[in-house]
Amino acid sequence: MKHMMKPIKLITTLGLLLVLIPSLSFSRGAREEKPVRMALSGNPDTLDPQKTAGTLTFQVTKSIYDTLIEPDPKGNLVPALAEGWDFQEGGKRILFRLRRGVTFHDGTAFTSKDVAATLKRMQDKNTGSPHGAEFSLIERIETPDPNTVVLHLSSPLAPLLATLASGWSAILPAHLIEAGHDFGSRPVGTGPFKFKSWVRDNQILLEKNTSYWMRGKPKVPGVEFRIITERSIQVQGLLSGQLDVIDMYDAIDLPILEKNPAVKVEKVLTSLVMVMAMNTSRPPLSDLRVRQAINHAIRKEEVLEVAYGGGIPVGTFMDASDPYYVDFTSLYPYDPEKARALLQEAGVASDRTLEMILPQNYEPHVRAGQIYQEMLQKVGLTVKIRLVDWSTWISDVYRKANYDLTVIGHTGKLDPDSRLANYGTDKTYVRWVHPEAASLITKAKSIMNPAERKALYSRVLEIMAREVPFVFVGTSYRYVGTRKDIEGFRIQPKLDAYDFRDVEVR
Amino acid sequence: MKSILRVENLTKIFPGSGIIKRYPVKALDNISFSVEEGEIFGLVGESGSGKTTLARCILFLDPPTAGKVYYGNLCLNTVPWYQWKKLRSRMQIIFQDPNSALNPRLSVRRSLEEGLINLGYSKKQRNDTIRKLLDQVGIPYNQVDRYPHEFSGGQKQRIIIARALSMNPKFIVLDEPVSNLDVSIQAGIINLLMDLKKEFNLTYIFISHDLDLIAYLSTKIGVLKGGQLVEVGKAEEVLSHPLHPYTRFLLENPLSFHSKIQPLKTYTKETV
Amino acid sequence: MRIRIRRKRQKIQKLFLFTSTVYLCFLLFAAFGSSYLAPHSPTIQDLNHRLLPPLTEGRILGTDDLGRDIWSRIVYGTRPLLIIGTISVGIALAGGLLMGILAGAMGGIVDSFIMLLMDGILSFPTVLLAITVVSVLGYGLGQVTVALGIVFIPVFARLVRAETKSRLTEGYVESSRALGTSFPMILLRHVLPNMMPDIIAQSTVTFALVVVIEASLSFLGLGTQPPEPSWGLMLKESRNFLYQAPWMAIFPGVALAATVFSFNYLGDYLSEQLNPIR
Repeated sequence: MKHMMKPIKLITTLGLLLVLIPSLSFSRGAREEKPVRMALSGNPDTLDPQKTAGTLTFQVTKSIYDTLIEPDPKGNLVPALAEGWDFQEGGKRILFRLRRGVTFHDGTAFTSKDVAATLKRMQDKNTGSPHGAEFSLIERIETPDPNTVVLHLSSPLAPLLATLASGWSAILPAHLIEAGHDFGSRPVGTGPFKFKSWVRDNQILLEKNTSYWMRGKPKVPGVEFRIITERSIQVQGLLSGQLDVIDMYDAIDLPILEKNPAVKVEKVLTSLVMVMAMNTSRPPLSDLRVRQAINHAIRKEEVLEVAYGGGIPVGTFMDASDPYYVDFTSLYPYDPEKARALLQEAGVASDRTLEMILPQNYEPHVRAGQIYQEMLQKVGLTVKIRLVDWSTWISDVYRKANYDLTVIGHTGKLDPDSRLANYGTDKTYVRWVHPEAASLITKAKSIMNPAERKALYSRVLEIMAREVPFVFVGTSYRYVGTRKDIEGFRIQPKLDAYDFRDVEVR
Repeated sequence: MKSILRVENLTKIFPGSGIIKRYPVKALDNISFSVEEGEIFGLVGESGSGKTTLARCILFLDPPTAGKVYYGNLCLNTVPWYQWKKLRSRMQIIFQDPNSALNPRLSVRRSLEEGLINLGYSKKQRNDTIRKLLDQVGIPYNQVDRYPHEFSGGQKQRIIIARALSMNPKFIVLDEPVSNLDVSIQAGIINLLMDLKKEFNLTYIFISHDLDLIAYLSTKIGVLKGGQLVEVGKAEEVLSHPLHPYTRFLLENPLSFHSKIQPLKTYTKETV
Repeated sequence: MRIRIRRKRQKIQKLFLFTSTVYLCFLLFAAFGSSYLAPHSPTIQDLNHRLLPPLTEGRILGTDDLGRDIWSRIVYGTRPLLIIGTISVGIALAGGLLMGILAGAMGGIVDSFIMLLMDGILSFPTVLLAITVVSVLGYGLGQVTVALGIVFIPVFARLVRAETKSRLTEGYVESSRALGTSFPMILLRHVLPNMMPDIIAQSTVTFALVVVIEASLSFLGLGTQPPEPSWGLMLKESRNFLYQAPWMAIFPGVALAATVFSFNYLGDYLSEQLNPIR
């Protein structure tokens, strides 16, 4: 009976999980001289910031590399490796004054050559960076002296500063770039921590960079990223003191964490926009009235509460904490009567079934999908759910737009252009075509004046809020659980990056 | 006397097993003999000499590799498959092991019916025939709906004999019909077979490793050794003037011959 | 001493047999009369009553993360479970009989070819193969059923082939040939009926396996689609609530374990009891 193994295995897996969690061996020991231990929700595909778009990578590389500019916790761009910058010729030239006395982890000094080499590597097609296109307007890079870099652009590009503040613009040492160094597995940067080791699917160890350019930082001897995919195990690790920091996207385990006096939980607004996307190229969703009806049928607070662990409802395609955010939630309040009337007006047959495709690896979206299904059922719209794996979702839904409805969250961006690019054209997965919106988005890209830019984006966001290619549900919270003795841990919400520079153990 | 079965140069080769190289086994080598109507042809040989293979080849349950078998004047090699059904009734076979020759999941009635259905008997005809047959082999008809495991080995063999008779055969190949049975009931079965032979005017090919039994029953004897028929002739002649050294050896050392199989038994006219 | 132990064991066996039978009868009843047993709808959500522990507010086994009644979901989950199990085993049995008899009766190249194919299928891990078949046939319950049927064909084919081969050498088959019975009739009359006990036993064991694999496919998102109740799906949904609402995992898990145990036990029992009387 060798087959008998399988049922036994399956049935006991969940039970075993309960039994095994407490016995997982995390190292215990004296607190003071130990590195900070944080759970990472997956194994990064690489540690080369130019070769991926994966959030997991940037969550780690934030501590190893620096960028010229960086966002502060509020999203303002502040100096980092560049002490200052000037726009010249109406934004077609940008001059950076670099910080002096900065060294890479291998001891070589940081100069303008490194910046030029890094940007050139990014532009190189052979590097294959998913973000390479963001650098395509840089025509020429000048290095008049070791501490000055001048970028010449073919046309003004407002989002460029945000790009240079993002994780993928991390500065790499020129001499190692020339040597063809493998940054993916042995990263070398100027960051607050030096790379020590990476055991794939297990842990990444970083140690303090004693000659970091920020005086007195970092304050802890190192960082240990423990790769733990199962959230319940992360929670157990934090409760038992075997982890110092965990980062959660839902509030399910909040009561347990709050009960434990050795743990504190901080509720932080993410920069996600949770949506139910509609394929506007397919009838009946091509009819605005149907999309409006669907919007009227959804109680956003309830979805946020039950599926996403709470959040702030939004009415347009921007997260609630963004400086560009405008509140349009009053446009489509919950109104099932109106929803039914609109559906009738649009002539949607009562036996019409829409298919909702859900990414089955994202439990909150699957939960949200079931709630939407029932809410839509109540106004007379039948929805059939189909679960697909993540790669199928990317190819069928996101690339080919082969769906009616889907549920997903859009991650945060430093610049509104990154979020809105291509909307209004048929290149996005909602296939929502609106020439006015599209041209406004393109125009805003080259406007350097912040107030003028904001006006353009407000108009775009209003069009989207009225035309509803999505049900814009809201921005969810994230919950950062830390041991009580840990202070100063920060998350940059737009980039999802973890900042350990100010972390202290009390 | 009229010949009922004639075997000419019969050879059987098994392809043998093996993955890299196959070694064919010659089980029967160029065997010829004939059996006349009403005779008992006794075939004697030690185990492994090819007795059962010969029995199966004669009936084409396993077609011979070479050589011909004649039933009367009909050459069995040339009979197409669809005519075999009819021909099967002429010749029957009874195997050594009564325990495996009856399907354990079928009642005696259903086992006996099988051949009769093949012959196209009606339900009533079948019942009448079964009643008569069971009577002839000495099994009470009221046990007809029982299953094989409810009978002893001897009773099973009687049922099997009845089943063979149901086909109304001309000759029957008896492949060690009593060697799996208790000594005490062997005689009963032998007697039954002799009675039936007389009553239905049957011809027997009687296969055994037991020379005493063969000597007692047969009118003609063939001696099989290593797939070859080393001696064949009238019973008295073979027994009194064996030509082949092996036959002589058998006659002189009955004990050594079947000691490997089972203890020596002797049949006398009294026990039969 | 020994006798007492044996008696005790017999008693336990009887108890197991009784419990298994009762449980399976209950499943059957639950499948056909779901609405009599389940007080609530298996799919309708009650967001004000989420994650209720068992035995509160009239929820025997509590509610899940969307406020659905767990007892009702388990009860309604039996129907797809039994239907998939029955049809899959049916497909596997029919295919296995065909392949097995062909291979066993024809022998030679046909046998080698069929068995090579079957061994090839068998050498894949069952769940992986089922996933592969589903991804070829497409998603959905029907496809999963067919996939599971195909996956288990080799199990039956091997059994039937071995049985056919050994039955065909039996004395009664030889006798039957001597009686002039045609080959198809021999198969029908002597070969098939004699392998029935093993087939029945194998069927019940396979049924249990199908149930488990359907659950794992649902767990992976390939089988039953939400919000339809499926035990595998319930287990999947419970994963994130292990601390908060362990009942979400425990009850469907127990139901699944009991089903597998009952089918296996009954299968073993039947194969013992139905073995041909010698």
